[in-house]
Amino acid sequence: MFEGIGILSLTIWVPIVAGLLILLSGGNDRQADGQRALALIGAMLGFLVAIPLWTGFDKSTPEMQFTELANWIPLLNIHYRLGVDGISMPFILLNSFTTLLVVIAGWRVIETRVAQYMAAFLIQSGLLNGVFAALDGVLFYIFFEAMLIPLYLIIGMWGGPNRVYAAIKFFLYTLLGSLLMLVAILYLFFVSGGSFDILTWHRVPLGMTAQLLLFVAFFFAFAVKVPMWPVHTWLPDAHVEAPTGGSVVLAAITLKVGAYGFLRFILPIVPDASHELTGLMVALSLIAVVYIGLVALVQADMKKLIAYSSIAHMGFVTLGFFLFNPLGIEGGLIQMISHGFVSGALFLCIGVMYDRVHSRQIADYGGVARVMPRFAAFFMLFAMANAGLPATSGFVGEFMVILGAVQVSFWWAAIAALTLITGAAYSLWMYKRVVFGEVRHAHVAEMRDLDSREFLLLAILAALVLGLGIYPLPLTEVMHASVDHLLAHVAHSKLAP
Amino acid sequence: MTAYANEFHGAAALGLHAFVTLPFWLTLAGVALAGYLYLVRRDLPEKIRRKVGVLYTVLERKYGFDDFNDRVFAAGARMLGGKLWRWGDVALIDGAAVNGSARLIGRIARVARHLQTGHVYHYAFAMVIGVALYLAWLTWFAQR
Repeated sequence: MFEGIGILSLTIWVPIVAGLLILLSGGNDRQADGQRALALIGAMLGFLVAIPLWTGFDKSTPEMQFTELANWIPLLNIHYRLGVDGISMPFILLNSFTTLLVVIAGWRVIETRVAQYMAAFLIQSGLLNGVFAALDGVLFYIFFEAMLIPLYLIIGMWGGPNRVYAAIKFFLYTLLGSLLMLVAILYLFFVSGGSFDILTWHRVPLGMTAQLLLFVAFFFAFAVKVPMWPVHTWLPDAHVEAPTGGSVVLAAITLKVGAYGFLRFILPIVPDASHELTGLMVALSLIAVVYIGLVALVQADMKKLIAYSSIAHMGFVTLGFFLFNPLGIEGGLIQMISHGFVSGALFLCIGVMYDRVHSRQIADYGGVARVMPRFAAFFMLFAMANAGLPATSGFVGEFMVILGAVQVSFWWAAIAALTLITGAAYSLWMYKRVVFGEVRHAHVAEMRDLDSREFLLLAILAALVLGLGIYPLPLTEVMHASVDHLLAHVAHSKLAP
Repeated sequence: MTAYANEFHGAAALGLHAFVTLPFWLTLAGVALAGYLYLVRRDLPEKIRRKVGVLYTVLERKYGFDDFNDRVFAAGARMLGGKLWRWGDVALIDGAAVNGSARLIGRIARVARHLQTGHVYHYAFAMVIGVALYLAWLTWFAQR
């Protein structure tokens, strides 16, 4: 039943094994350079083994590809079942790539417990790939829960002064959400005649009451992760306290798991309930876009500001999903990838400043462009992309979702479009106060411009932000067949006759 | 469209036509006037400013639109954002719902822990009360 180790298994287990090897190499910081090198090799290998997913991907079919199947717990019919389609594949690449960035970003910044830090990120990377590749409900649940642990440790050990509060809040919030999902998974096991195969669940007929209850159960798990208003308050705390690398992974990948859950579980398994609750979902998404956009405006802490802007951007994603048209869903997916690049880059930018001044407060800066011109140029590009400027990746997804919304309701589109104003307001106002003006603080005058490591990181992300903004076609092509298939599936009622 | 096509006699003609239109000459006059006022007779602008007074102020402040935007839209958005953040996120969601539920459980536990005295006779007495309540419940239902 098991035919060798597949590519997806490699993307999961190469980073995890690399992480465990680093842990085994000893937690002694005197060997930190060797451990850093080992982490870099592990992250590079993890990214290299994921590349065939892109090059060997068949864009013409919505079927699962690179599938792997092995018996795991035969007694309960639990399988090690992996596979990706056009919706999940890009996220494995994004995750493997982000891991590489994070290892480089933590190179000189993390000085204590280097081995554990690097190992936590590599193991986390493997677990996240598992979330996107799993096609067995139990396997998904295990990866989904397990990925909390490395991030909990990352925030709790290498975080800021209030890190323990933030780590526990993050853990309890997300754990509470996912417990209901376990109940839903067990229910689906019984109604599907004893299967944990997610694709089988897609075809199981379900009554309306069952669908609504399943919707609620899955919704809590995924809405907390996205996070949707009003279960979002763990994110600003987690972002503020997390080290730069933790913030990057959190924003770039972990939030996407929640949105991915909507497409893999909620829409296809309970399509009738999804249609029934569209109004509620759109309302929550639009509240996130407008309310959170305004809240972002008044933040004095840069990390908190970007955290709130992430929630507003993810509101756009969930809005797109519940439009039930190709523009909305593909726009949402592009927005997810773009937000991975842009928010990751913004957190790296804040990290660059924090490493020099040890403050995240906007008021502690001003005039940064005079001492760090190269940095200021990159920071501007990413701030503009965050505001959704055309020719950056931030524009493509937002534009598609707004177009998709117009097809359904003019007013939804009009409210969603407010994000272009609030987004520009909070991104550019922060940029203005931090970067422009006179140098008012002595510590700002002493800031040195980017070193080559930081320059490399930001340059790669800048190229991706511009590339995706100018020519998004390769990405939409990959998603097309799967999104069309999903929409055709969701259009059919599953109510038992 | 046909009406427009009849007016169009080629790109060169269109370009040349621009020289006989009023906007072109007004623009040119503006350039000449600015040159005269700020390069040749540099004392004149100040005199004109004093003469026209209010008109100058209105133009200088762009009919007050910038101030209006700053005071209404920018300050309004900041005020609204601050209120939503402090009342919505900090007070209601985090304060009441998230940390509130944690505090509530803490309070219940603080009271409930007094029941855990560690004395066997307290537990035995609780069991006796429990059995009595159970019997009462059974008999009440048996009668109905």
